[in-house]
Amino acid sequence: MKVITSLLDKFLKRSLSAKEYHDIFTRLGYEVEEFYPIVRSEGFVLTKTLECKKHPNADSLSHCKIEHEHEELDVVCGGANVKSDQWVIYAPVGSRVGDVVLSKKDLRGIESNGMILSLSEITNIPKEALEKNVQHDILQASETKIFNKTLEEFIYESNLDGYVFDITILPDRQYATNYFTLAKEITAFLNFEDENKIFLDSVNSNLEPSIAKENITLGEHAKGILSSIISYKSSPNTPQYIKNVLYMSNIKVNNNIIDVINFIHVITGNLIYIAPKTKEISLVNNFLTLSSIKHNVDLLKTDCNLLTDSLDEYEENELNLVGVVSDFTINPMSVSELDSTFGLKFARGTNQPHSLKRSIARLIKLLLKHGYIEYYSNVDGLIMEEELVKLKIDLNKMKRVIGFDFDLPRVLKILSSLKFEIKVSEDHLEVIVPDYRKDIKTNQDFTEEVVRAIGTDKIVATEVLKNPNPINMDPSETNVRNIYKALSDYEFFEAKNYYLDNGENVSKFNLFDIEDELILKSKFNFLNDTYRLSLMNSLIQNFVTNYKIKVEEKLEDTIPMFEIANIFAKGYSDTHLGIIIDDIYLSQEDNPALFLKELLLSILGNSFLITKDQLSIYEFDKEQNLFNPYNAIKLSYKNKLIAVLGEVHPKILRENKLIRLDKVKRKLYYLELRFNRLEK
Amino acid sequence: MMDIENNLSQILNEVNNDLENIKNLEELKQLRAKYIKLEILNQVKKQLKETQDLDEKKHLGKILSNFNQSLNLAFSTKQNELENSFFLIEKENELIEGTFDLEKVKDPLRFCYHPLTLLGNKVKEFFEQQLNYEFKFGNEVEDEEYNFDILNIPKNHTARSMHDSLYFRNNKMLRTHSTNITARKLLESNSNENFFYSIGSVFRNDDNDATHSFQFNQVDFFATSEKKVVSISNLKSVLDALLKYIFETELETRYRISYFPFTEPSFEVDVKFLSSSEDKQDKWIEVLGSGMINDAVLYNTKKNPSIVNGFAGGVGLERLAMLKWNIDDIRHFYTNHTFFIKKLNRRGEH
Repeated sequence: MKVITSLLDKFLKRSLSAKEYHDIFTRLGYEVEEFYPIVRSEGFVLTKTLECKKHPNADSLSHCKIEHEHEELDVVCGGANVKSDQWVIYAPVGSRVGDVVLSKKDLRGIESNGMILSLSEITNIPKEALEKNVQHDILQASETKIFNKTLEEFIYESNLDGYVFDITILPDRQYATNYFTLAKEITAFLNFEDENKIFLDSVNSNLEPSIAKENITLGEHAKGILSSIISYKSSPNTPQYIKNVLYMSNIKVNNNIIDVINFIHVITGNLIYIAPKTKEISLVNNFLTLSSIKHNVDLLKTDCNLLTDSLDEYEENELNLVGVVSDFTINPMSVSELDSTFGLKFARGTNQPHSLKRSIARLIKLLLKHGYIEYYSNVDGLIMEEELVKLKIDLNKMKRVIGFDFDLPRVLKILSSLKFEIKVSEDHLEVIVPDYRKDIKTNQDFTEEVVRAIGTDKIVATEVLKNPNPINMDPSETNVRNIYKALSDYEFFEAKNYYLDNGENVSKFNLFDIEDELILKSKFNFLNDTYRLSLMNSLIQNFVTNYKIKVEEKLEDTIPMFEIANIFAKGYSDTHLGIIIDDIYLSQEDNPALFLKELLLSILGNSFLITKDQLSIYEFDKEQNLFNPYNAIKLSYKNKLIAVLGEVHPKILRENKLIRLDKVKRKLYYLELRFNRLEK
Repeated sequence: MMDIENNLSQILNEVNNDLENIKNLEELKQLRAKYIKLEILNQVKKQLKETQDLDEKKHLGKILSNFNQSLNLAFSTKQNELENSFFLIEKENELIEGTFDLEKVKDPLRFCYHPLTLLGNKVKEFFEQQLNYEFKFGNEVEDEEYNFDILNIPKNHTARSMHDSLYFRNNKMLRTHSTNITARKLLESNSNENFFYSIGSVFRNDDNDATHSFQFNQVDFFATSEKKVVSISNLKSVLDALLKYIFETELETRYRISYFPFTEPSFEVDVKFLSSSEDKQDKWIEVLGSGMINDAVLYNTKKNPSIVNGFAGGVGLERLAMLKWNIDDIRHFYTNHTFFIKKLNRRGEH
């Protein structure tokens, strides 16, 4: 969620610095991804256009004169809405706009001194986030508002002061994706005096229904409905103010009505629907069908489709505002579908209930308070009381889990101010969870809230928890450790490779005839879709990569490498050791394959107590194209093939460009052992 | 039509004659180039394209593909023959009986662990020598049940989508975290006293770039007990000690309340690093996730949450290695450049 600090300041009734906000968000468990000032550049000034006319040599440019430091300057401007006698924000020559430092520039025959700026040029709002017609407009400062004011004052009054914080609100805290709750929590956790009462008001919904009760059939999942006729009043600064907030919150700007809905959602967390007053309203079950996924959601259907239709054709000041009170759970799919409609961002993985209880009534009061509506009437009070979550907390157990002494009365005070009703007895707490905290269902959930109130910085580290019991070594791990030990006597580099490879390679390097390789359901990374059946190809590739580097650096180094990794297929799992060496690993007269054989025998003997006479060693058949059949062998133990080793076939060398025509650049020798099933 | 057929078979004869005289791979390459460019082949292809008669089209296609097959076969047979005669010198296989004296190549000082193994060994030392926790070896290919269900990850959680996780056609999957070990071990253990850790590869459906990798390594540990106090407090001591052991220096840590389905409360832990950039601003960098094991997980693994509790934590090994050794790109760990591996192994030698 993107939070604008100047707006949050208003709900907190105090002004906090960026650092303070950073610390507070972190403390409350809202991870700060990044933050930046809304207005991103300095050196801009507020000034007035003296004269503006069409550029003689360009259709879409204007030639303006502005006053700057008692001088009259020419500025060429591309904004469609620029005109004479208008207050604008001006970036003089030498100031920085985005990544560009402005200089004098000839634009189709007129020398332009600096720029007149648009909203996206003075803020961090990306151009794409702006409406098409605003993208190329300059930012107009209404004269009545800013006459004789500084740029800072203009920025402040246009709500462009402060910072945008991009915070991650995790799936269990979806209740907090709005300014009200954030303000409420900050107030409570920092022990601010709670001056802001709006959101703590309980709503008295003892009002007359606008739709006759007998005409309403509640859907299976609805708990009640609220409806009211409102008239929407646009106050002078509302549309621009709301639009700015929406821009900076990454919410798509639509028309004024939808903007208000989105604005209210981001402020209060309540989702509301507004329908034209004149239209018939009927209640249908399972109305919301998005991308052919049906949800058990009860909404009021009107003959105006609120999710897709533009409301421009309806008069703004006469609308029927309806909301649904329900305990349905919006699953992540529908939330993301709603995202695309309303342009809102939710954290992924949420399955938090999105309760609209009391939302409309509360909303109406709010709208009234802020002057968005002039009057309301006939709010239906058909709310069924939701069962509140009641917890009985064993104090001793909770203290044991937390593990250190903490100030319980202080914690209880914080939680009480967040509307938790808590009764304390000698060894228990009886807690009634407020209805907006859908995430708290169990004693553990409540413990987390307690830890949050204590403050994670106050957690005391006590003793390290040691295992008092004797431990056994996992046999597979013993094997791996033995092999590392055996190899560590020689010059080897250990490699680690990706386990997936493309299917063709996988079957080609299937050294042990393992059946039924594992193939991914959908293609990943264009070629890597199959679990490899041997380590041979990876190690050859590792060799080739290193070989190229050595050639470039004119180094004649040997590149002996090994890898230990698990191999899986359907019905097969084992751990493999692959070793690759080249022909300069040993002196010329020695056969490296023979070294590999002897190394293998020593590993088998020392780590697995398998002697040479327990093994059958035999030649490769001539048809296979992986090893030189005259210099390669297979080894089996108890009639099971356990290892292959030998000189890599010239075909493979050629494919990897280690042979150029008839010249071999470097010969390779390879060993692979599967060892987990070898009994000790 | 017969003409074409005759022509092509005549060409095949010529090819075979020419191949007889080829002595090495270079000549073979040139000969192949010559036959690929034959004018008659282009004519046949053109005719195949232009003809309207379906039967004729079929027939032509067959002739052409037969010809190509025969041609390729002739060349590849020759290539095999040449390669075998050049590179595979027929000789007695000395590997059957031969021996080799290993002593003459032993050189322990030049052995180099992969950096992730180096760091993994340090983690192993910590858990085994300092805490006496048992190493648990784990499967990378896993059932959804152990990767998700037992760990209290809801059915509709996005991590379960193909978009985030890699599934095989037989409904197995690549584990997305090594916490599957916690699920397996807790379920198979009849005791309430469990102190385990594991290290292994995990997989996400991510692109590979400087900071993301579809495959990476994770250390995972957990402790449950009825007899001993398992608390947030001693979780913090374990984590602080682990980080200190790995980075070999005193560190400032910061605990943030977070959310994981398998722990409640959950914490993410940040470590304070002095930035290497010019501004010298200290930076908090997130290194691990942890928390008290969720009662639902204990319940799913047949433990009684009212008498047993536990903690668990997980940390990405690559991330730790990158921070410890100032490595700027996670892909370095999988390119296996020997100079990179050597540098980290011989760090203390100078």
